[in-house]
Amino acid sequence: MDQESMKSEFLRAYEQHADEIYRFTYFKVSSKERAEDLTQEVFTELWQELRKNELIKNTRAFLFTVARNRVIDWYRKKKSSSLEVITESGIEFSGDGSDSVTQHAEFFEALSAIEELDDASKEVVLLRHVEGWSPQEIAMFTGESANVISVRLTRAMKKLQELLHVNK
Amino acid sequence: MNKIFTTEEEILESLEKGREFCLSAESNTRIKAELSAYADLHSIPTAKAIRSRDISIATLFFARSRTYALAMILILISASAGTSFASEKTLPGDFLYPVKIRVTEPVRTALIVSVKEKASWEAELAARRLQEATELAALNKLDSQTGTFLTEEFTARVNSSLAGANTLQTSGDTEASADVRSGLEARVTAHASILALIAEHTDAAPSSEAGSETSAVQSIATEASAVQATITKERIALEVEEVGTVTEPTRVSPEEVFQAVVALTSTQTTSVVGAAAKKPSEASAVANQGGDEEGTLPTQENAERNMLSEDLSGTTQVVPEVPPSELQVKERINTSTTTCMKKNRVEHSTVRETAEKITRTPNKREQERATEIAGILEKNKALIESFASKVPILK
Repeated sequence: MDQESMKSEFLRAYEQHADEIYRFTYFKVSSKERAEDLTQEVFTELWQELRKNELIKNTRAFLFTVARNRVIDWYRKKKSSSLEVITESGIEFSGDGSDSVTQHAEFFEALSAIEELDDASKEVVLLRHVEGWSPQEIAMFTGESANVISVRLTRAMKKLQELLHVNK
Repeated sequence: MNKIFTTEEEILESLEKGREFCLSAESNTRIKAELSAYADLHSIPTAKAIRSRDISIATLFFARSRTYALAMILILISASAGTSFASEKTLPGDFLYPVKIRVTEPVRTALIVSVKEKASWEAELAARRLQEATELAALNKLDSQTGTFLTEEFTARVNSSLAGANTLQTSGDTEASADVRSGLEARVTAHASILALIAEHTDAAPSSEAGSETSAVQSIATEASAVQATITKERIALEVEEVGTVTEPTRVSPEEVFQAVVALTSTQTTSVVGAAAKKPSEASAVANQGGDEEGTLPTQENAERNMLSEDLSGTTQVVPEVPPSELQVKERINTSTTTCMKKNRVEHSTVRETAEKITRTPNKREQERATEIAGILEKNKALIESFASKVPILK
């Protein structure tokens, strides 16, 4: 495949998956700017892979895996970085309540509760209920069994209801 | 705006709305533009280098784009600077030979823009194939497969060189066309004679296992002389057509020079000299066909030619009945070659003088041709000698 057709395929993949990758990273790093940077990095990595003539069977799975690793890397870096950066990112998160937040008020309400969950539960809830993945798909992605995912999902939802004071 | 979620469904509903949470339009455009620029900057490594893996083993070494680029640059530098790249002197069967055939030479071909230079370069390539055949034959390494390959390559190069000459001719540049033909003729003539020599001797060699080698050398030698004959005939026909005069192909006699060498290394001296003597008559036969201009040839030249043939017959007579020793043969080749070369040079100058009296260009070409042939013979002198010493002429 030549440069032009490869590039157009690459940009098509971007259009198709950019938003979900952005959401995924945003939910994990809680900062628009950081999520944008991470999204860009993820697609940069996709291009590098295409360029190496590597066969990518599932572009979406590839992108999510890269995004996940990038987020982990980012957390590691954050831990070792200065207090200033951490508070800065905290400010960013609380100050994030601009246009998009008001637009998706209800969602962010739920999200603030989701934030209380542990990382693994959070990921499962987001992938299942926001992105609409099946437990099997999530299991494939995280490398766990579908059972484990289902159980985690049930527990996470129960916890979420408690946090949001859902009347039974 | 603290909304109280009452049911699980409401939570799920609100979560689903999260799917509307997207990149802002401006961020989306910016990232996309940046990624597009990134993709252009880090473009796909020369896809051809990867695809052409199957073409030859040599290209395997160029699988990595940087190495490929570097090699290309090296080739370009070596080609332009005139220095010979490592592969230049390789022979079929050598490790780097595919590089020469598939990379170095095609790159140079591709770099030449002018039709004339391209045609001349093709002539050079044709000569190279014959040179390789010669060297392999001398090493007794020319098998029939390589022989066929070299013959095919040789004829292909000759044809594209002639095609170039024809293009020049139709575009009106007869001068350049004649130059190309002349250069090609000289090269093919020289190499054909060398190959003929080797073929003759391998034929004479009673080595039983050399059966296939012998036939390979012979077939390529036959092909080369056939091509040479065609080119010469064509050239004479063209000269007849254009100038109305014929410059005899054997007037400047590098062939005779060579055959003098052959004569000394061969026991079949008479037949060789006989062949040499036949040549001018053949040529004049052609000349007669196209309008006899023999009479216009200066008598001075005829005298010179007679002198040379006297010289040839003189050396022939020197060959004793008793076969000479190896050392003697070598010595004689040396002296014979140098005296003949000297004689050749003398004749060049005379030819030039007389040529200016008649028509300038054909004779100038004659001279160039002679120089070219002499050069090729000189280049192969060591090979001819070593070959001659190997040949069981003392049997």
